[in-house]
Amino acid sequence: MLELEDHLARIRGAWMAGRAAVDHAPAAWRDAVGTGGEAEAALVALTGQALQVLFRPVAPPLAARDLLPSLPMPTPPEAARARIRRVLAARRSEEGGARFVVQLLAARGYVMHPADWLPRASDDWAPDVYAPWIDWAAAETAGASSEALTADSWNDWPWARRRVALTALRRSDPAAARALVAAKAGGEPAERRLRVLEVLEVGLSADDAAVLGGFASDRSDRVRGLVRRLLSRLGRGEGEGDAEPAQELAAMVELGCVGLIKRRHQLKLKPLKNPIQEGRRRALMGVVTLAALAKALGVDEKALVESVPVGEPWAISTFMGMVEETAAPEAWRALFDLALHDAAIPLDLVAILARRAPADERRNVLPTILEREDGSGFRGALAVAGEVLGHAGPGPLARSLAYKELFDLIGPSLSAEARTPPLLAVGLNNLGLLLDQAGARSVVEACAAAGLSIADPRLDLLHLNIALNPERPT
Amino acid sequence: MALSRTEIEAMTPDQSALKAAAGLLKPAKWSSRGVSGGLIWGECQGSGANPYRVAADTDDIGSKCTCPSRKFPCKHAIALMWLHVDEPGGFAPAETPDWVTEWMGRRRKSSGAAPSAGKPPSGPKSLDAATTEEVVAASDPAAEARRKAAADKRAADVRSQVQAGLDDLELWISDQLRTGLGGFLAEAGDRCRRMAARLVDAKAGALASRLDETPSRLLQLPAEERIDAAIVELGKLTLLARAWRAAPDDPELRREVVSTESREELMAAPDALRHAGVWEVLGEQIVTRRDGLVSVSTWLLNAEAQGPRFALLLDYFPASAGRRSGAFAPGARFRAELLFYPARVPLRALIVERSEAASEVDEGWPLAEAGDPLAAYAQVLLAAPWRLDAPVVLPSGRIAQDVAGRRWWMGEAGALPLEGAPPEVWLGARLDGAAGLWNGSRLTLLAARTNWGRIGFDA
Repeated sequence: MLELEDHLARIRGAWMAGRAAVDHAPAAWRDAVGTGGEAEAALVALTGQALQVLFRPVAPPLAARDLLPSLPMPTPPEAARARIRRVLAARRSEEGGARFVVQLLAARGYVMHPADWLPRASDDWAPDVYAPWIDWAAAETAGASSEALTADSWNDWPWARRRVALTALRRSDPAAARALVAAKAGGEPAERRLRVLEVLEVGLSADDAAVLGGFASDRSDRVRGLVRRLLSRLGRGEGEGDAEPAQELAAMVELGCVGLIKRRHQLKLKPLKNPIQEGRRRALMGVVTLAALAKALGVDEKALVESVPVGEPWAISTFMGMVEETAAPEAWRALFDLALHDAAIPLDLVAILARRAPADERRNVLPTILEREDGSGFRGALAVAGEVLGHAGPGPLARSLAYKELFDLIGPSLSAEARTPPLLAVGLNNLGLLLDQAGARSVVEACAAAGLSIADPRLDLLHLNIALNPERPT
Repeated sequence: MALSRTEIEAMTPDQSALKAAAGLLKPAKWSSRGVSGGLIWGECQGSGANPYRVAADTDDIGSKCTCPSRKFPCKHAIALMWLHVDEPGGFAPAETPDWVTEWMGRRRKSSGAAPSAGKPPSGPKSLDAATTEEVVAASDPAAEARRKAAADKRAADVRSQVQAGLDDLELWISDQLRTGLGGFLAEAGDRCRRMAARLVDAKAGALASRLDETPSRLLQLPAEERIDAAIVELGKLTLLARAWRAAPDDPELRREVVSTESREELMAAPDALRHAGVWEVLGEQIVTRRDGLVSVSTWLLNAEAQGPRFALLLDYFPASAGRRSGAFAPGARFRAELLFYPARVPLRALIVERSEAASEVDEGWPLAEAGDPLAAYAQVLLAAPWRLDAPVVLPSGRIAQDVAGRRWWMGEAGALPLEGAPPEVWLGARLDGAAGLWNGSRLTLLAARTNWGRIGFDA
């Protein structure tokens, strides 16, 4: 074969340069191709066939990745996967993308088939069950340690699985998790340091203050911001450097009194001279803690949260954000309860406060939220639900104004001239994410009764919801 | 709007479409006819290799068909609705298939008026008239003999023109070698296009198309592989030209050089292989060619031990007819009788008759033969050395990558470089078996059995 390779190399060289190659062929080939004008063409036929049949590409050193780990939940039934792919394709350009579908599946006890969706290394929002895949995507080759997560085994755990294990430890043994955070967070790069410290938000208590205080001067802005917010929730929101911006902000707002019979405070924005000052006020609202502002205004936190500003939407949502991030638990609770039952406070503002509510609490308030939903896109209810998907029953839904408005959109969408209202698709999709199977089934039946084809792709998420029978993790 | 015979007559573009639809009313022409709510659908075996998927909304009489007809609605859609009006029991209630749901999502609702509204009247249209048997005039033996003599003369003329064209091709190949392959590669596009145009004039249309595609095949390879690839391409052209010269009536060679026989000619061919069995759809390749045609290749794997291992359903559509929807779901299995185009190693085929989907039970694939995974490819090349590629079944392996990030199929018996870059996720899968196309330098994976189930690699 080596000899043939040598002949082929010389034939190749001759043809590259435009010279006759027959003289370079093996003797047997020369006899076969003969001489004359057709010999070169015959030789190219023989050479080509030899190159294809006798030789194979030589592989350089190759590396095979670790096998993608199996996860402790099943993939969805095969029949549902085509619909999942279609839903994912439709949501590619939408807010949230695959996120809600992934969370709906997880809520029912399924993980995506990797052919349909695989998390990227940066998808740290993915449910905990995906941690081994996130590690695989990040090419973290260390296998999950069979030992418990300790300071000694810390580095044996791949990042995503380490974070999940730390969160689980925080729930079962807060002190042990706190000790691990104190010992190990400082050794992680800034982005991971932030995620490690975020674990302390689970069951945050005064015992965590010392650990958090150790990172109050961290070199990362984001870490310092997190620490300041968490310390503020513990009643230590008047850290060094907080008083001055709070005083500056307090000078730009005022606490007025409203109500003829029941007088109460209301935070008002003072008129400012120019847009630069307006911008400064917006920036301060985003950084000042609730406790520091309360002190600067001379009231306590609880009184301040009851003085929700009115008028400027940005001011209201920024104030809600301030409460959600920095208020002490009692103050946050007071405003959350107030917002939940005050129909004048829009659901998107309730959703800001709900970010701090544990999953069980969000599950409990969802019927109330669905009942008072007034946007036929059900975006507010979805925002409040967070990752609590696929649970809501149909009862409260039927009583909501938004549900009636949604069905009012079906009739016009059936006429030939109608441009399909996107709100109908958004509302049906979001209901497909929020409802339990019985709820999804009742919506599909109602849509069919209203004239929508059962095969209408706007019902895809509802059909998917119905097809996902709850699975217990294996 | 309820679907009725009157509505069908009103929506039909002309009487000839109704007449053509009447020829499709035999249930044997259809498989998988279903109904759900106001939607009906079915798959019709038309003149192409792949069946056409037809769906209609009986509420507003909208319809969709994957055939390339410019008439709307086409004869297949008319026939589907006609069948539903006459025999609604022939449509089994079923869950709406994905391809119908996808159509529902894309379509613009019609107002329900006949599509011909506003157009000049195309004359009276009648379903009854369309089903009336036409009396065929008795044939005249003398006229028949004249037609046959004219056909023979045309065939002889074509043969002699092709002969001259192939002589020209061989001379052109010798010129490319004489002037140097470096220059050929630098000007491959122009040179091949000019020679292809001469082959078209010489009635060697199929060979011209192949030569026209040669530069793109060469240029997608890394520079260091192009010289050998050019030698291989020119060698295959030489072999094809000489084989045709030795046997110009050989149906395989005629197909490679001149044109493909029609469905009717193939059905009448006495030596064409027929094989009935269970076929699994490996995948589909859709390629737009330089000549403006879109080729749709559906690769089938024989799920049983007897008969050809692979079959290829190949259709061509004008690119102007728009994007084609697939005719099959990858991984689907169906029982069918296939008629193979005569060839040394039969591969290209037509569906003669297709029954309902085969059992849902996944019985796996036939095992790859032990030893060299490309042994079957070598056998194909020894029988038909002009073939550009051949399907192969590969044993268990992995997808691995080299230091440059290029991906390879890697098995115990060796490694093969992959065409394109399969998704990253499959670097983490164990391939229990795979099927692909090997062209001598790259493997295009079609499908694989993995620890995550069946996966497809369609483009």
